Amino acid sequence: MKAGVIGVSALPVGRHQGENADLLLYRLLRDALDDAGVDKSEVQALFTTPEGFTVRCTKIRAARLAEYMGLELRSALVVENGGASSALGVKSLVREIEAGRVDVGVVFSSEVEKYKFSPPEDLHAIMDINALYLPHDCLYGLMTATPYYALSMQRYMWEYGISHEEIAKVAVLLRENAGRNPLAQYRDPITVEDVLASRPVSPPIRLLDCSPASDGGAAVVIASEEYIKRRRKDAAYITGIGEWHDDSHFIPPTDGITHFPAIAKATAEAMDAAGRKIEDVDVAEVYGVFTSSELITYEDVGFFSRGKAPEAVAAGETAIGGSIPINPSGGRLSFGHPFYVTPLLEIAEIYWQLTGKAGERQVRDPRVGLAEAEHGMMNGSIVLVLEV
Amino acid sequence: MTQPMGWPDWRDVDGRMLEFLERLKEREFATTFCDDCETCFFPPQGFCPECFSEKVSFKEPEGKATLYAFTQIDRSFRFAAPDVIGVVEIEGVRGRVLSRIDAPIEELEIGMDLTLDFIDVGEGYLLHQFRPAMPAGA
Repeated sequence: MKAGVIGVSALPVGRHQGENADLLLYRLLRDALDDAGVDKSEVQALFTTPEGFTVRCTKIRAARLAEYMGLELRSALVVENGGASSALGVKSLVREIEAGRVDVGVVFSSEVEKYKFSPPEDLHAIMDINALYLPHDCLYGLMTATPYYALSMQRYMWEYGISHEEIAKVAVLLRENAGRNPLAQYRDPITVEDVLASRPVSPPIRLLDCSPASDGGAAVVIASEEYIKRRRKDAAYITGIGEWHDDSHFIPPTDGITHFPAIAKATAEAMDAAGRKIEDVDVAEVYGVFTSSELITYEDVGFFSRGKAPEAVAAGETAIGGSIPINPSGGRLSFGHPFYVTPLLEIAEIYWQLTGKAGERQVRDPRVGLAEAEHGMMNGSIVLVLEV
Repeated sequence: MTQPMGWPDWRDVDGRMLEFLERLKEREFATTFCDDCETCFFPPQGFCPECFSEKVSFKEPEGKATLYAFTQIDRSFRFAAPDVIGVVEIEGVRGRVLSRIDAPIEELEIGMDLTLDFIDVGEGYLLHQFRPAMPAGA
């Protein structure tokens, strides 16, 4: 039994400070059901993520949300595995549908994060939320992901003889795409010079090489093929899923840091399940959080050979009118990046693209889409193939 | 150049991180070695990631240390910012060591040989760090 996306909702990415994250979720669910034309009595599964990375997370969350909305469910789950969480939620819901237990379900997530911390007072709180870096890395007080990606970017430039200028072009292109996305956090055009002149964060990474930390929310309604046909819904079918987790969660013990094997393995499994080749993909959304990891992801998914992504971006191949449009939404760099919500935003974008609802950033007549999400420094990856 | 940041709960599941820190106080950079499959691995832990044995003991790695990659952090909570950090590969050790590098970033090159060193961070603790090895003949 195949499953397909039949409706989505999403908030503008940016800041929703002062709003209640649960209330945002309830509205997202209502709007996604409206979009799908599904009555609340038909919802049988509700999958979500924890509240956020920097805020207190509660227990028995899925059941509490269901109670507030008056939903009786056959399946309820909170999924957590870093940035891949909500994509793993989608996978779990698809499996429930494939198993015949569920006809219609929703995966949703919202985040209203905390942005100001003052060490040393907030040190323990920071360590709690950044437990992923414990224990040995923290001896130095290294508590953000950026330096890890800086190490990767430095080696990537060194191994392939790539300049920062060549890497910066992807940030410029993503910003151009975001300019056509009304939900994007950053929409004003930038130039390569802007990227190179932006504040150094962790060399060689500069500010405009980074995605922002963001608030946001999204909901995705998924239904069985039988339901979709019976109710004559427009759907983007999920035809293949792949997933892989390395034995590491930031710096791998032995493998390189200029390619991410989990992405290649997850993509291969997803393509195989869909009976597709990478050349069949018409549009992709990937989880690139820094310029260099964005480019490396293009290579590991298999769109370009190693070290060749910057050249392909410069040639316009990944632009909306190019041979393989990647991150037409503006990507994490310019669409914005609420960690837990991001995979749902990627899937929403692919749904919009495949159903011809992507407005000014519509790719021409795509049939096969790919969404990729990750956790750690690409140490784990999940890839979904969607088709119309 | 260092500032107190306390020593929070390290979620040390098996006591090996605390032992690692205690040994550093004695200027001993030792990590865990599996007595069954003879894998030497970092970070130190009481459970061999290769063969699941819990028969592990501490050992000072003897292999050559080289610089795999490096960067600078502008938000160092313990050290003065900016501060240089790097990933160090030690021959014979499974797992790389993320470490402070005691040198200006301009003087570093990927692949260069490193020497182990220690730094007093106050509160009774020493931490490991690495610095470029003296060139031959210097």
